[in-house]
Amino acid sequence: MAKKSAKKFICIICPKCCELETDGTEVTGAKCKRGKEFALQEAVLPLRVITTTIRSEVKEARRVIPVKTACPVPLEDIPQIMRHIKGARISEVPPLGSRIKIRGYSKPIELVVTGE
Amino acid sequence: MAAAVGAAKGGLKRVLLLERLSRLGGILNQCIHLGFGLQYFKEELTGTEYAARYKGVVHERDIEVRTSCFVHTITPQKEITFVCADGEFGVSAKHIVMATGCRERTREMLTVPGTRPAGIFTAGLAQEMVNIYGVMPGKEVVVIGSGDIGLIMARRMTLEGAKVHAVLEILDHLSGLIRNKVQCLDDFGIPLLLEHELLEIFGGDRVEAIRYRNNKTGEQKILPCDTVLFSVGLIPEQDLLIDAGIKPGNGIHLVGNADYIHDYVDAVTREAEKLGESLT
Repeated sequence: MAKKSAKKFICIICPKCCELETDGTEVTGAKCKRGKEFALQEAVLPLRVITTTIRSEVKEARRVIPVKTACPVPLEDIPQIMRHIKGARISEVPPLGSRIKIRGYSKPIELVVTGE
Repeated sequence: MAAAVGAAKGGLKRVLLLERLSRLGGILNQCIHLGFGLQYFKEELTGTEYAARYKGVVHERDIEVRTSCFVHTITPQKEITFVCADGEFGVSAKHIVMATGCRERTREMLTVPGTRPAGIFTAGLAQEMVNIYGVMPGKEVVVIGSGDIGLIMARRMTLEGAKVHAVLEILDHLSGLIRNKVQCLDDFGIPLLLEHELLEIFGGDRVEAIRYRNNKTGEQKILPCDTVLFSVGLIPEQDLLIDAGIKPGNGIHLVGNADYIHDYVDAVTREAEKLGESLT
């Protein structure tokens, strides 16, 4: 499938790091279904889960609590989303796995607490 | 944790898990990034999630867990001495499993010329500062070595607002996983300079610049920065045995990164469980 419009990616779904190629409808090089989906998505709009920390104002607790975005977000929006996460403060320590909503640029950003 | 779970599963009656820090999980607690658990839990987790989930497995078993306990001596007769807030204690065991992980190779071990200013960190230390304490090590960063921790920290520092100027790798190929180069460097436009060698660090109180050489062309350059992160290899932590002149065997076991460096925690978990189960 060496078409002119073909795009090449290295799959980041798992450590096999398959070399994928897609013309937007078909995918070659993927060893699994998730790799195919990744290539098709990557060709249109690359998405990533952000893993970071959120600042806590609870005196007895850690200053930062690890979080991830509840769903993958557009790669190009990451700097903007990070600015919102960095500006946010939480006033109580949320349990592992709970969700936090913070103000975002157009819609709220949903985060999942990943650590204690 | 996994060796203790394996031992309890295998039928050992009394299993004691001693942890130096205040909570279980070791280095996983500072690994807030994804990429853990795909094999063991069949789900992509962050390191912190993996640790929390495996703690659940430990608590299901009859294992005595003691945190904030520092083991300072082990003898060939398998006597352990540790200190904790309540004082010093001794315990003798039939088996000792050393799951002490590894240390990072430091700047000193590479003998990099230059001054000794503030602003030089191992990548893992920087990770602990950012992810556990919420403190930034610096703003203008250069990463030395393309190991996975270095790649992950290049992204982490970028997300937190620092400028990562480059990742320097002395070899002609990446040390870490390709997927980490893609999602940590390429996604954020951080250059990976292969066959580039750090020659000198400049700075008085704080790092001011580094000098490096392109080993393909011989060209040298000065790069201004205030922080240098080293991701140049890991060394199994076996000091307790080395100090006592003990070799593994005869009831003393090494597992995980304390034995040799593993790429995946899932493999460490499996290996440690298996070792635990084999103890009688």
